[in-house]
Amino acid sequence: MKTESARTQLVSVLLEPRTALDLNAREWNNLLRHTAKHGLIARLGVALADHGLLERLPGKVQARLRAACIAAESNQTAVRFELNRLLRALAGADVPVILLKGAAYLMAGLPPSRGRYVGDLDLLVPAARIGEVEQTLIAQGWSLGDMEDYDLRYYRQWMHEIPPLQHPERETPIDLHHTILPLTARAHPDAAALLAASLPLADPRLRVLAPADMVLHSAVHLFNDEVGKPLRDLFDLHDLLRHFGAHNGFWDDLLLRAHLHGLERPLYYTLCETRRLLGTPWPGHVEKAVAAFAPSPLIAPLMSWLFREHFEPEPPETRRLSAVADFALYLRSHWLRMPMPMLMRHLSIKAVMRMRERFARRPAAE
Amino acid sequence: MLIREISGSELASRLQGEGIHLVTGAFTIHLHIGLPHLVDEFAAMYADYTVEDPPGIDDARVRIAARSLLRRYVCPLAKAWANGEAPFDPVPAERAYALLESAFNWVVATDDFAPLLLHSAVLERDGHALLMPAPTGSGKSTLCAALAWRGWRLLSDEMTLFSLEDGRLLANPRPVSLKNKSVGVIAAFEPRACLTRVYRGTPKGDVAYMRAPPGAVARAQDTAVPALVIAPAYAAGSPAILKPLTKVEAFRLLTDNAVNYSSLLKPGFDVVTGLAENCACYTLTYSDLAEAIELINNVQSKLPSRRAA
Repeated sequence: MKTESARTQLVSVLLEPRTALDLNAREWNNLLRHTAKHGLIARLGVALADHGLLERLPGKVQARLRAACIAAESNQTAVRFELNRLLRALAGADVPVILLKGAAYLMAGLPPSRGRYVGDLDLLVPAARIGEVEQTLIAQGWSLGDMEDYDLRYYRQWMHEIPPLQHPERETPIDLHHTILPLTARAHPDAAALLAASLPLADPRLRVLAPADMVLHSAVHLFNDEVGKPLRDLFDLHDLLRHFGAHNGFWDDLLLRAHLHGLERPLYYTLCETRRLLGTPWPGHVEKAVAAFAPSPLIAPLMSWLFREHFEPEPPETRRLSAVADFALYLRSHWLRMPMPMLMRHLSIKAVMRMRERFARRPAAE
Repeated sequence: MLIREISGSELASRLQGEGIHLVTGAFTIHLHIGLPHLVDEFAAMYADYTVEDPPGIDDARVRIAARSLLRRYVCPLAKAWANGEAPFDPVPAERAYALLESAFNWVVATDDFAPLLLHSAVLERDGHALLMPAPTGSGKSTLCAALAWRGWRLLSDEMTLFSLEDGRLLANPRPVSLKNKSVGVIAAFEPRACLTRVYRGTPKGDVAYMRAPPGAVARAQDTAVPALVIAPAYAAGSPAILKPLTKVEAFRLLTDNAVNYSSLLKPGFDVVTGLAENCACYTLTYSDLAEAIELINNVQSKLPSRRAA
């Protein structure tokens, strides 16, 4: 089937770049479209360049991949510069700044950062200091974007981060976190333990989460939240597990920290989905421990179908089932994020806001 | 194969079925059209363009069709899908051709072009490329359409595309959009110009499109070296005046018109400084086309010869 091949080709070319040499024009068209949608074009470009294959591809494909790599590099430069400005603004405040997700991979030089676009600068600071950091940044030119009052209040009261801050002259928003899950969520990761275990980078003003915590944060974000680029994030986890998995004690640590933060279930999904889709290896002794984190046998097949559609969606023209799966996961992410009465209230307010917005804007054709 | 070599019925059935791979210079569009009257209008404007057969690698997908089965027959509405998105409000079906051109512009403007995407008309003479960066309403398209009939080869009336490899300019010659009074101005200026009917009541007023001259379409794969930057501004009753820009002014003019400058950082900066350093840069105030063209030809002929390249 046409759709099947586009779905699996993307993953197999990323894992086995050599297979790119066998693609015909139609397959390239499907693949590039798919890859762009998943935010993986630059990653594909880097993978092909690493294997010395770029020059052997059709000219148009080369140009497209090179352009994506340039855009990704520029994006990483912008993130580095934003971080440079942030550290300058915070000089003298003596507050630990822990980089999260894309920014952490980038600054720690971890494998997922190659060809990865970093949308926001995600940072974790101690809850007690977050107000001070926010005020310092605002005093030095950053500002909170335009946001509806409801959203602003929602952020302040219930979220694990404050509303995004952005400098008017630059493009990278800063997301300041005080923990890694909303306060209303079922699980309550131990923010103090995250901070305590964090590790300094070569520039000691910057820190990243300890390996096990980093994986768990990426996991909880991907499996408990709505995510724009799920396959990209699954590849992040694949890279992290392979990189850290080679180190002594990592896997035992991972199980211990999952228990400490109450994140056993997202860890279960991470290990199962990376292995199923990307062939990520994990050692034998983890197998048994992880089996205990599985959902009930009634739910497991449903979840596995939902994730399959989520990670390898059909092309937009035929995406009926993927749309159903995405909607189910959207509901699930909210279900995990807050108690039921609060959820009903939140979703109805959001629906009204969205409708208002739809009437207010839309670019006109020329 | 050229569009005009395909029979009307075959073209219509391909556009409604698999679609065609339409080559517009550097940019190949996988095009579907579901409205019969639009097939005819499209075929008239794109008669000289190549259809890639068998289809190769495309740069974008565009589909124009009735908004819904009902709206195919009752107060017909046309809708555009571009790369799987629907970026525009539907328009009355009789303006579907203007919607198609908007969608073509949109897929170019939103592409991840590196090293830079510059909002500017581009033409070439004797190997010298002329860039005319200017906002909408400055008379850029009118002057561009006129130059395209006076010895200048049209590369684009909208966007400058730089080749990643060598910094040369890629051509994307397409119909030139003329707004309001410029429609009559160009019709009077050049009898050979083929214009569509006027599409009334678009957000930009009354719009008509001029077919790209045949020579420009035939040479759509030829690149050109940037040599001249002229920012035009129409001013009623004004004599044509060409004013040189300092390098700093040229730099600012170019960055103001660069679409993805702020996100590309260094590669974009390098292109812009390269242009400001290496091109002769001017502003041009004009009201009479012939007078303006004479001034432009004058500066072009004084540039160092590029014929060998």
